[in-house]
Amino acid sequence: MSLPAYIFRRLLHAIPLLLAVAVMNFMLIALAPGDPLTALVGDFPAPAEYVAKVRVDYGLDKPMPVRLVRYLGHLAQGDFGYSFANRMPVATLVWERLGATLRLTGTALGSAALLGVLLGLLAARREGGWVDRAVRMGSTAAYALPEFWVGQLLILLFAVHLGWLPSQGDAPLRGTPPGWEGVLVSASYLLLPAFALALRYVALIARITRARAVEVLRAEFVLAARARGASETRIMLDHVLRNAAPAIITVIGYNAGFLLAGSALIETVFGWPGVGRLLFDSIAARDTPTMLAILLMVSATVVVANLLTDVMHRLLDRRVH
Amino acid sequence: MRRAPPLPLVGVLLLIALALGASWVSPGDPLAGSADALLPPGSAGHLLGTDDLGRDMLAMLIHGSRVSLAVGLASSGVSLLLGVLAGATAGWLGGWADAVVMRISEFFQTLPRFVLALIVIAIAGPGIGKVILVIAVLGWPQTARVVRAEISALRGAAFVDAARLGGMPAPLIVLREVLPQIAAPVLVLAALDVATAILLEAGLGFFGLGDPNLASWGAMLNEAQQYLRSAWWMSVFPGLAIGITVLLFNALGDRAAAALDPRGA
Amino acid sequence: MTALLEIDCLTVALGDGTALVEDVSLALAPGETLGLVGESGSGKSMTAHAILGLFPAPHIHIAAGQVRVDGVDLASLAPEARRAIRGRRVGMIFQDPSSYLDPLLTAGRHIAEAMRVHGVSDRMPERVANLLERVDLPASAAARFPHELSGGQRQRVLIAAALAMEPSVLVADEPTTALDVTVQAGILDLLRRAAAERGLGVLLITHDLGVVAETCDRVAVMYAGRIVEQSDARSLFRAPRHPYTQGLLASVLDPSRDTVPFAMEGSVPPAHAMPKGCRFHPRCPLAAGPCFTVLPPFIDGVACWHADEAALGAWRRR
Repeated sequence: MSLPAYIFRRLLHAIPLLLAVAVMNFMLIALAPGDPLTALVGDFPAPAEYVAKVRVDYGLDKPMPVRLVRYLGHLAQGDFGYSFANRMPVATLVWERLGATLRLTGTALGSAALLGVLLGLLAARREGGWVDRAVRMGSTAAYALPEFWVGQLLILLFAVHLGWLPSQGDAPLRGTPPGWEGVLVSASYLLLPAFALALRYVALIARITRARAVEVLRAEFVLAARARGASETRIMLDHVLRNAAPAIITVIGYNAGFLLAGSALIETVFGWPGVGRLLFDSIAARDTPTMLAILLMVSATVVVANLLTDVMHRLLDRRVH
Repeated sequence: MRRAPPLPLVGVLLLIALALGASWVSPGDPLAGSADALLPPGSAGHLLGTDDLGRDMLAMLIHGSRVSLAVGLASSGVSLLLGVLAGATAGWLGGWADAVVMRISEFFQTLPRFVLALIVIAIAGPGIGKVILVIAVLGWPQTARVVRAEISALRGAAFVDAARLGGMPAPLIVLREVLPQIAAPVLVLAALDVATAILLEAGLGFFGLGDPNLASWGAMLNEAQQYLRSAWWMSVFPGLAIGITVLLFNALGDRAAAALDPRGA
Repeated sequence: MTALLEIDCLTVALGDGTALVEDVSLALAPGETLGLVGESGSGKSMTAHAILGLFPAPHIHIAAGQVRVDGVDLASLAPEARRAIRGRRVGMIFQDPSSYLDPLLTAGRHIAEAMRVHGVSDRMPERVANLLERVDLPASAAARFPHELSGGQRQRVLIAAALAMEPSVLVADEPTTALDVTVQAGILDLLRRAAAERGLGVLLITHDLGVVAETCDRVAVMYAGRIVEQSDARSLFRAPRHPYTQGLLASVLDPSRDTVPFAMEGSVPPAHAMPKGCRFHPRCPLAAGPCFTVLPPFIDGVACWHADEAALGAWRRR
């Protein structure tokens, strides 16, 4: 099968998954204890006209199938409801917070991939050596620690005890100097949360990289490359990394949900103004429309991440059919 | 060859003993507040200090093990049951039953477990039973996939044919002949599941969705968040407790997997 | 003229000291093809790996002896200098060409790698095309992945990569064993041509005496980690002197006779359970006296206590 045909088939596959996620959202509203109206409006004194409008728009007096179709219709138009806690449409609200979350998760993901692959390769280079043992023990330990607690420890050490870095929020819009200095200020706010979020991911990536690299290093084509005079560094980059890449990409991609969940916790610890912090606030405020919109967004991100992973995998290994 | 029981197993058994005997071991009622708020570790009568409401940290930690272990063990037990049931059905029947079960499990694997659990509990209201159920319902697909793969591989085995010719009904064949054969890999998964569930529960507690009538490690970390600048011990000890517990279950799973690996080593 | 490659009293051992190859000495002259034959487990493949100092498993190492390329002892070189010799002075090809090619790299990338690692990086497509032509493959093969090539084509790609830097020595470890008989002939022809045209010295490791007869100028026979006989190919085939060599030759199917081929009983002893004395004595029809207790010295091309008697035909008396 050609690559475009494969991507097309994978896309077709993703659509029912997204639909299923939307239906599940609908079921959460329908099954919520109390009036489904509360779930759609949130636990707020909403104006009577709005409540009446929601009741008609979502067909709450109609049978279940009609209500489902109406609900999906609203989603398809990008209408996720109105957040009374924040006094704005949910779609706008989430959209405003998205940038901060992408900056945090992107930084964490990028540095985790770099660091994890590097540590995994270093460990594999001397199987059973001290680097290998240190990486394996370190990753086992890091994988067991809740990321939000790691965040608290980092705050205790670097913000409270040493006073080097800020512990709460993002760089203020006003008061951050322009140019390089501003970048440094932004980075100082980003450093701790990104590290806390990346830690478990580093452990995960280091483990899979090490395991695959050890396997590839035993392959006969590596011996052949050495016989041609290839250096160990070149072998690591040209052969080992290339052959380990599909497995690494799969682990990274299929754990996207894990990163977003971690982000919700980390943003809460660090007061980071992203979608995760919004989720925490909306739960505290019983702002159901916002919660459900975030759930939908996260699920959709996971479906897309899995899709991209499979396509990348296919690009990296031509033998996959 | 006889060997000493592996360290992770000893650790897990000790933890379970601690949770069971919490009322006897604990220095007091974990939820009883006092005027002695925010005492540092080493204070008289409070080995690990007190929290913002003057509750004894050690007593809370010891009782917290109950919540973590109950949620971890019960949810992984329920998800094991669901997974084996679904996986066995899919693997044994094959065909459309297989397709349906696999599609459903694929869908569940797509769901972001933690975020979904958060929202379900937020909507349904807190409660340890609900937490167990939600984590279990989100956790079965992996077990189902492993069971399915193993069972469809064993379906044509000679001992299965023998049982079938002997007139044994299919559910009984699966239960008596096939499941014992695949117990090992499934139990490894279950151990790792316990660790994941404990982390999920801690996250829920940290989000303030724990049972307000129980001391839980995640909820303790939630409280600690506001006192990071004044009471480091409120964060350090519960986090350590979670980390060590998760590490023990992960290590138990890894050890078991290594011991069961036919390639030896 | 000095030999291209000299192996001197080479011993290869496992981590625990168990010897896989013991006291092996060989020399290879320019343009010469030297066959190293023996059953599997005789240590011939380990000898081949020892030349580049690359072993298929950790803990295997050179315990004693020297490998000299152009008169330089490889053990005396720094790792970087040793690496510079691999591929540039000594090329190597292997038994199963499919597992010795990286499945994710094209044929062209393999050949280019052989040059890049030695600092050659200009006119790469042209160089790769020339090398492919030398091994009778079209230039278009450069873009093919290993799974898109046949077994014979894969071996040709490996040969092209091994010859890319014009080494003076080629170590060929069972290069045709995994290939069809019809494909074998083409590969052997390629090796013969390379030796004749460029003065390449070829060390051909094989268990197939037919291949040796077709290709080699001289032959060394290995048994249980030691060389038991060495001579020019013509006299070895005409008048083998060691009972083991005679047994090997007799077990080759001869189409001119319709007798059932002879088969030696037993097999090569494992490395950790070598018999005392001559290692072949448990299987040898002439075993007597010193054979049971003392290792026979390698004198005048053969290592046998009863070489004179064996010259008459060791297996005939039975």
